[in-house]
Amino acid sequence: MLIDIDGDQNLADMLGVDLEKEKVRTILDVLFDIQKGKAYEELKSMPMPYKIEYLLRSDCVYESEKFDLISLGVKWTSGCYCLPNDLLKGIIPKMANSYKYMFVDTPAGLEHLNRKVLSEVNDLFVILDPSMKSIKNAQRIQNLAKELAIKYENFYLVANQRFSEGQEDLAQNIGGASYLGKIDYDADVEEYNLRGESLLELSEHSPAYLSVKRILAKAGYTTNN
Amino acid sequence: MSEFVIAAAAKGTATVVEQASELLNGSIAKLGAAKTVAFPDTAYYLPVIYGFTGKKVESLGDLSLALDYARNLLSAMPPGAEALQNIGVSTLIAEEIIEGVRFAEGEQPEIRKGYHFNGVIDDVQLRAWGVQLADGTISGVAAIIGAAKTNEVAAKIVRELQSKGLLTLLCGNVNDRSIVDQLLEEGIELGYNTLTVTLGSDTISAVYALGYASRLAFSFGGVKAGDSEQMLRWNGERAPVFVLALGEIDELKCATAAGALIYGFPLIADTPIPGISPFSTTKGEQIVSTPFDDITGIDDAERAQRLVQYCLEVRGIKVKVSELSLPVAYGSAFEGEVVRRGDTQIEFGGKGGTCFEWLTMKNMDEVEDGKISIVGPDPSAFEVGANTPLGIMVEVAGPKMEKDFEPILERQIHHFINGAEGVQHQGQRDIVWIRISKAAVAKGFNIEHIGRILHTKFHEQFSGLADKVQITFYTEAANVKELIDEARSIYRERNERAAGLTDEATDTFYSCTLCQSFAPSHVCVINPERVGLCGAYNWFDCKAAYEINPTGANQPVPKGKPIDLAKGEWEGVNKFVYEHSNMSVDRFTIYSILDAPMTTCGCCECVMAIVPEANGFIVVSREDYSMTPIGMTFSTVMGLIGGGHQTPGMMGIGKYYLTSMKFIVAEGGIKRVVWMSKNLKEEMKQELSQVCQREGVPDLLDKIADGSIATTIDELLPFLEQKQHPALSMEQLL
Repeated sequence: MLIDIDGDQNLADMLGVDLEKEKVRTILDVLFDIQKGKAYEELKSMPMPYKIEYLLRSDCVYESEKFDLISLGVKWTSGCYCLPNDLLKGIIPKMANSYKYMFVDTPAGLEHLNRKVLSEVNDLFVILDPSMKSIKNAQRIQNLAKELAIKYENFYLVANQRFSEGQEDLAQNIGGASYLGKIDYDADVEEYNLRGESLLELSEHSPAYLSVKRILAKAGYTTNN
Repeated sequence: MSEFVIAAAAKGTATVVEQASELLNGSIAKLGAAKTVAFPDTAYYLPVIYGFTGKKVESLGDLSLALDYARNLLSAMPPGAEALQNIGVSTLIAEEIIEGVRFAEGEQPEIRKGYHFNGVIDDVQLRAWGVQLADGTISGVAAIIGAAKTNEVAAKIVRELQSKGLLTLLCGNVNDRSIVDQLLEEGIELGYNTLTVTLGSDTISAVYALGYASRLAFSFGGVKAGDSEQMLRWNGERAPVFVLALGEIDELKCATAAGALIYGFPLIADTPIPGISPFSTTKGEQIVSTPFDDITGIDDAERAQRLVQYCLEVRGIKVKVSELSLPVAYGSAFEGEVVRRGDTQIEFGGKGGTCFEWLTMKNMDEVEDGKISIVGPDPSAFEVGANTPLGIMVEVAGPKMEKDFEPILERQIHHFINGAEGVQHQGQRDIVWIRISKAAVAKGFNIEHIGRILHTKFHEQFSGLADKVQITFYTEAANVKELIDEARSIYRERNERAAGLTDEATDTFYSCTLCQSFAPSHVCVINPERVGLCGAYNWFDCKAAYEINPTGANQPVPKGKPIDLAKGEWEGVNKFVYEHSNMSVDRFTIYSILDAPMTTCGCCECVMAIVPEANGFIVVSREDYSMTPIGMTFSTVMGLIGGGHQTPGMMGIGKYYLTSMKFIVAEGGIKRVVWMSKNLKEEMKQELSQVCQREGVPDLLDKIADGSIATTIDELLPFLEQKQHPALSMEQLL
């Protein structure tokens, strides 16, 4: 289960999924319509929380053979987030139980994670830029996790493709975190991104793919298929 | 009571007392009055005699005293139906004397054709079963006397009783043929471990059943020996016992039945009884005749099954359905489980499909408990991934069931079905979406199991309401379409009823603390007649939210003791609000704006504020940015009261609260509204007109000013005076 709570909503694009074409809606699209009393005439008698759960499952889940995907969407014009957040916190973790893995793509900041989806994760992966700003951000996230009472087992750091040889040292000595390695530069990734093609189509020999595989293996994830 | 029964019983009792007398005298002559008399492995002596007379029988001589007691009852026989008590007691005492003598003579327990009867139930077993009776593991006790129509019928009756968790006591015969003979011939295992106890082959041994009941009263009911009134009352109220007479009823059976009747145990006979119309049961009816061949049923097996069902109904026995046995795991852990498309074997409803569920109340005789049927093709045979129409019809019967409970029970279908591993259920009513996984089907799960789940869970969780539950699945498109239309008209009726739900009709309100992240001391209390002030949640929504996320922001608030019903103040509500508002709000009223009004987070749809000069209030919509007659805009007022501050005279509301019967009733309701945002007035014109009509001022809406009429006090007052707004002549607010 992939959950994209980043406002950019580009996780689907990266995987070559056109949500619009698939008629899958974002959670916030659906909530907006409910709040405005639009559409769903036939669901009118259903109490709000059931309506949200029903629609979330029937309209917001992209289903494919290897993965399912939910996208939160962008904040709608006005109004208060509290109600859907409270319900999502009840619904999402329960759904997650049915999947082997749940992967949440969050914007750089944990508030989103806590407020919108869940407060307990196994592994936090923080992707670093080769910049002091990024290193500091990684430390800030640890403090924030404490403040927001987000429980995690592992705090992992991953350097992105912009790191060059030698720069990795920077990432290796951050207290409370384990550094897993660096995603290798891959011209194909740039090319695919440019053309809007799915990264799932990358070749098995792609340096980026192989490095991610290595990184995940280090974190205890086996990728044998 | 039938005169025939009384007359026959009177003759029966005279005969049996005489028989006891002869036997006893003969035995005393032979063995002496000091000869020990005891039922083995039991306390309480001869329990029936002990219960009625308080006398401990330990010897044949003691039995003589008991015989005198029985004779006295016979000679003092009152006329008519009142004779029943005397007949019953004297019969049972005489029968127990006979069994006592038989023990003294070494003739008990009975051996017949090589089979050793059990006779008296020992104390160890009495206690073990007593606990099971108390917790419902044993649902009741059937005392069967006589012989069934055929061996097959006998076997079916006993099997049926066993399956329903009843303890069965067997005795008596018809023309020297006993049900015990029949069961033995059928190879049915009899004994304590199969909940079947053979008392004896004659009618007299039925007294062991009543002795058993007396001992239950002594050991579990704390009844004292000799306090027969208490013993009989305890049994009538607490012991789920009935007598099933199979075959012809003779005089002695009538007399013995009289004994059972005074314990409060009804007699059901499978033969006609003169003076008693067949199948007529009313509350308190104690003798019921259900001529076996007249019972509806396709064959004798079905008639036997119905007969047992009938007995349970007459005695009001509720069967605790045994644990759910399914090919997949079951539990709340599976609620919310996702069955992915690729893993789905069978799908009903959802996008582009049709599926509905409808729970309806029926009369007791219209429902066959546990019946699960599929009308149309069995979905197990459908190809993978096919989306087929489905209608789930649940019919529930029970004396305490009410129409109003239908939607509450129906909503549980979602939770019940979701508990099965590999089954996903979403929605309700005619918007239902079910997926059954390939893995579940591979393990043998099919649609019938959904029926079993519903049957078991409704019994388990609504045992007070659902005495009988039957489930029908419709899989034929034409059927589904026809029924869905019918169901929809019912859903509409329910909506109308739900809209009429009053605060008085519930003991529980719901809290909403969704907004505490930015208004930490604000608590919304949402009741049927006051929607949440953000307008998003009503009482039903909160109730559902609590079910979905029990640790979420919507919690039940028990109303507790009323403090002021006119203002809507309850102890339980105050306590809850105090505890959940960081102890900053110690009381609040639900129907008043002047005295401790409900606080506001900042999300409210409208704010209300007092206009002292006009003796009323304004209602400002959050979509109205313009100036109001009190010199403040919506946001200025919000700035004053938002964030959970209690400000008497000002309050946030959901706009539909305006239409409630409970709208600021403490201050006089809608008649106090002197100004309202124009957009609100227009948007809610229809609903508000109805309210004005209801409140007896049909043209009130025209008397309420808006932003196009007045944005200052000086503009407002002349308008109200000109329109003769009712607020002006109401009691002074301040």
